[in-house]
Amino acid sequence: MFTTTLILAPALLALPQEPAAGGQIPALYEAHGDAVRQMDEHITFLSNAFLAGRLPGTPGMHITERYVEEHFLAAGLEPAFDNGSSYRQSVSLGGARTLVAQSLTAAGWEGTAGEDFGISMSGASGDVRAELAFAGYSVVEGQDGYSSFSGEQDLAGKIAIVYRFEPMDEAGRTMWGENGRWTRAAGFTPKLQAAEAQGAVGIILVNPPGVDDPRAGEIPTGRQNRQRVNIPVAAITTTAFEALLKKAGADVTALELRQEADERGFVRPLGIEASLSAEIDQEERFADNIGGLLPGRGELAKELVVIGAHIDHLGMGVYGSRGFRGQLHPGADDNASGTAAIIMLAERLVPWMNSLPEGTEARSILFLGFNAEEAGLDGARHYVDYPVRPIEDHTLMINFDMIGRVSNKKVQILGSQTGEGLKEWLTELDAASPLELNAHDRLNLGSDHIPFIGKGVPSLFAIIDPLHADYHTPGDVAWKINRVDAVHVVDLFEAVLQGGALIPERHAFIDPRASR
Amino acid sequence: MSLTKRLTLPLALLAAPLAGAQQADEAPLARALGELGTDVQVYHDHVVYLSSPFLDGRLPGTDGMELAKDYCQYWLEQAGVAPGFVDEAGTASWRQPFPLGDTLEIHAAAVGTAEGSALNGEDFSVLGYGGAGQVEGPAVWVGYGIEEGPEGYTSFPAGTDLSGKIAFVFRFEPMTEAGKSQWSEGRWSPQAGFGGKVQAVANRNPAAIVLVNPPGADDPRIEQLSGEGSGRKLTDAPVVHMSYQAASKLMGGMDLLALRRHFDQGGDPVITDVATSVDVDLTRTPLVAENVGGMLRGKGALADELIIIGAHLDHLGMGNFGSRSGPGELHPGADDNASGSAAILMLADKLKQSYEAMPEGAEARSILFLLFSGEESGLNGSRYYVNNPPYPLENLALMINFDMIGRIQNRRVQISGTNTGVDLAAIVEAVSANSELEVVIPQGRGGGSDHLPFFQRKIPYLFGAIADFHDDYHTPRDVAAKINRVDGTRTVFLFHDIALTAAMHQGDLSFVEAQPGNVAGGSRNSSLGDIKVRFGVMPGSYDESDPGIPVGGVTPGGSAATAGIQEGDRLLRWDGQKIVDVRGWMEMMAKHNPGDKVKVGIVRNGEEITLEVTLQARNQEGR
Repeated sequence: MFTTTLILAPALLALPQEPAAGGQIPALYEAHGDAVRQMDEHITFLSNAFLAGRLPGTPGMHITERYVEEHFLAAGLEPAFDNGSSYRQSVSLGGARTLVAQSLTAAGWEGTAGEDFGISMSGASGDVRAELAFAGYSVVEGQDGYSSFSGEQDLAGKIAIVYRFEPMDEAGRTMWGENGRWTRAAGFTPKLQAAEAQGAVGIILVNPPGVDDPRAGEIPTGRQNRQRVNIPVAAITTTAFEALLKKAGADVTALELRQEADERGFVRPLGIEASLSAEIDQEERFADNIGGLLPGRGELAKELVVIGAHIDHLGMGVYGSRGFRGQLHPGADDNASGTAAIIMLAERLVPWMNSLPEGTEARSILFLGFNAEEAGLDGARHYVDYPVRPIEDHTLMINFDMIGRVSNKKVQILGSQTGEGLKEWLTELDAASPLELNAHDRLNLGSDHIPFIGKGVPSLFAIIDPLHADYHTPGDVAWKINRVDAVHVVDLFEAVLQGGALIPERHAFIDPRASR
Repeated sequence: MSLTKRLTLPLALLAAPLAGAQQADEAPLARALGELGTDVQVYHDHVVYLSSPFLDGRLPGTDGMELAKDYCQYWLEQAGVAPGFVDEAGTASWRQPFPLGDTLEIHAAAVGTAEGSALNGEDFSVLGYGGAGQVEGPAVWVGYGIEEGPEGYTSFPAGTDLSGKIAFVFRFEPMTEAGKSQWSEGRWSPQAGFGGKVQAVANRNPAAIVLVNPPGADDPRIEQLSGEGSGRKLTDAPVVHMSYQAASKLMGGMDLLALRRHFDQGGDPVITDVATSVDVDLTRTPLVAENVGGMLRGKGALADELIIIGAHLDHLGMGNFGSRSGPGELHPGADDNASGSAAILMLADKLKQSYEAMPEGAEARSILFLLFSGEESGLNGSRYYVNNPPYPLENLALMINFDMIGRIQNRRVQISGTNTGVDLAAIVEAVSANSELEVVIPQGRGGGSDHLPFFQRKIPYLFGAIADFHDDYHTPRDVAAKINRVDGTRTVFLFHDIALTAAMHQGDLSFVEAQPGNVAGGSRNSSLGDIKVRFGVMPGSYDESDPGIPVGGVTPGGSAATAGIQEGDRLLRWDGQKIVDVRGWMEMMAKHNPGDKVKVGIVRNGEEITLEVTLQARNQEGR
């Protein structure tokens, strides 16, 4: 009567017999317990592509922050920040800078933005009116004792005209570099910084006339968006500079200035007034550390045990990726696994603390989801500079960063040498755990514990051993997570937290650098 | 892991993913998901995400529902389909907004007398049955607020006028000394429901209504207050629900147990001179819900015809309505209907790929993938769609709906509607021969869900659902952990094939008038089951603009006929509870025993009338 047109063959035809009822996954949850299910649900949620790799400042990160916050709230933790009124601590991510306005005029010559002049984002906002002074290649110390700044004239109060590149021969090729390649002296940043150090109030970059370089015709603003100097920096084309000089009735040409600078460094005021103005909008972006506090008991409650994990990852791999820039990095092991662990530990420790017998002394426990770790431990570093209690009252810090791909039961613990007695204690706990702990003295893997060690807090860092090839790639996906052993890590550190809260004498800090 | 250390990480530290060095029983879930393959992993991801408690039970109006819609839109976009709608400005849009009741925000509330004040949240909660207001008046106790109970019991003697009064009403109904209902073998009869009471009291025009838990009742709920904002608006007067401890204090230590006994014996309203003030500040904002939809353009001449593949995305939130276990707990709705929503997302992806792979010259209908909102409260999203179709309904060849496909047992999945389109049954039969699932074709309509508004417009449908019902339905136990991902994925494959076949079908898909089944007795499968009573009506043809179930015919001598229900009536309420859909109605019926009396609200000629129906036994002679 008709044909069935099946273009996709169902891939499941060859599945083995499943167990009864709901099939394999529900059966595995049943067999391995509720904690495994919890771990699965957290890492599955947090690694979903919808969260776009949990990059700080993005909607996916906003969802993540709220997820951790709501779970802390539901677990019964108190807000850790702002005197107990907020679960969030703002961490600056630096800013996005955009040019809003620009203008350049000199002696009747007016620049047309985009055509003959532009603004360099290496400079700052500013509105200056001053005399132009030629500063040659603006080199502090070049080859054979060359220096633009020998002391006869400086740039104080002037707008410096700075030639790009470096001393060149008649054909416009470098006299300092091998095989026609410009040396480090030709870079923008050292020139700008040198001119600023000499007192310039503004800088105008120019391509020297006759230079043998494909970039000779462009407006030399550079492509940097990072501010390097605190004065406005403009750039104009060679033709525009020549026109400017002519219009001002200068007694020297652009080429003549170059030829002199090729021979020796010097500064010469040009007797031309100029106005340079740039407006750069700096929009600062923020992400939040999420912190929940479990108050302790008695006298010890004023001390803090910290348990943390970073909640961010690499987004679309703009930085930090191991070869997959532009692709989504789900970060299931790094660090949805750790994020899940701190949520689960909060849910276990709250009822534990509440059920301690009357009169028990226990330290408070601070649960911290760090933000912006991947960019350089920014969240943790901010926290130790702005801790909720004096940093001396932090007695122990535990960090999870990748506990989701345990193989052969092996887990590394870094940092046990930073606290007296920690290693022995871990060995005891290891006996009761199905995991095989490797507590060694290397501190070669960087994560959020580092700033705490830097402030004298004994710290333990748990991470899988070895790392896996999916690390910092799009392959760090949820299905591959070893949930069962991740839960074993949670179980182990539940005991560490309880011990850390209850032990009467805190572990004395041992500086890891001193112990070498 | 930190960027700063990344560059120094020795490669020797890295091992291959899931290398053979591990123990054989290591990471069982990873192993299972790895073996089951990408599609099962994707189904797992969708179901876990959508049923996360973080999504607030996907109640329209909550943050969680916003996340659910954004999630579905994201994955439709990833599938490569185009936005399904066009907004008012003419721009392509993934959303179709529609009005869906209102959300209630309670800003402040207080109840007080000279004896003290009751605190909102602690002593009382503000109910959604009422409105805002700042009123004062003497307290009048009107018993249990019963309009008409057994043996002529009423809380309102003739002429009871509550104007300017603050009406205090006991929860539940007349009870024995032991605190058990006088009117029911089970807990309480349908008379005990809030809705009926509030309506009965409101009819007497009070300035405000205070519902009070009765002391001594044999029910643990006397120590609980209803969820803030629960209940659908019935009156403008403020309505609150108060603990008996707080009420007694407000009345100057009045013995509420003695008062209760007075009403248990049928005593008259008690008028006090206790000046009571009730102050409720709330805002009701109209709620705008949204259907989410993506379009896969067809090919060739058939592209002008449309197939809709849909599933409702919404669920019950904290269970303030529609729950079978009571309000106040999160209802994750994994089977109902994250399971169906996940299928839509995967089908968009797979059908898009199939369409791309079609050879030059192939013809296929266009497909609109829809995630409906507002289903749980009465098929509101699908109803709105058919009343405001972005694509003409005359071009709509077929509607495929999924509502609960996540708890398949023994490989059995039910597909109803095969008799609504000429070639449908043959298509389903042929395609399902290739599936590992056992396709069950049920008797009758198969259950109430978003295909019904389409069916009412004479559009053929196929409705996929689990063949074997479970008791977690509409409870907090409908969790992701129990979802059968493997068979859910198989269902996706099955419906991919069905949809593709139907989309390319050059034969006849036109609508066939199906014989309406006798809904009352014939439940779609025996799991719904032990319905012991028979109502005795035949549903008529639906008028999509009105809610409820139309009565097409009345069985002579049956329960409905005896009570005076007529052909042309619409069944709207069952002991105060709104009849949402056929399935919901059958749920209510399942709770009854022969001989139970039910207050049935019907609409006749635009007016709502309440008739008392005595339910006959299902296996009464001759039927």
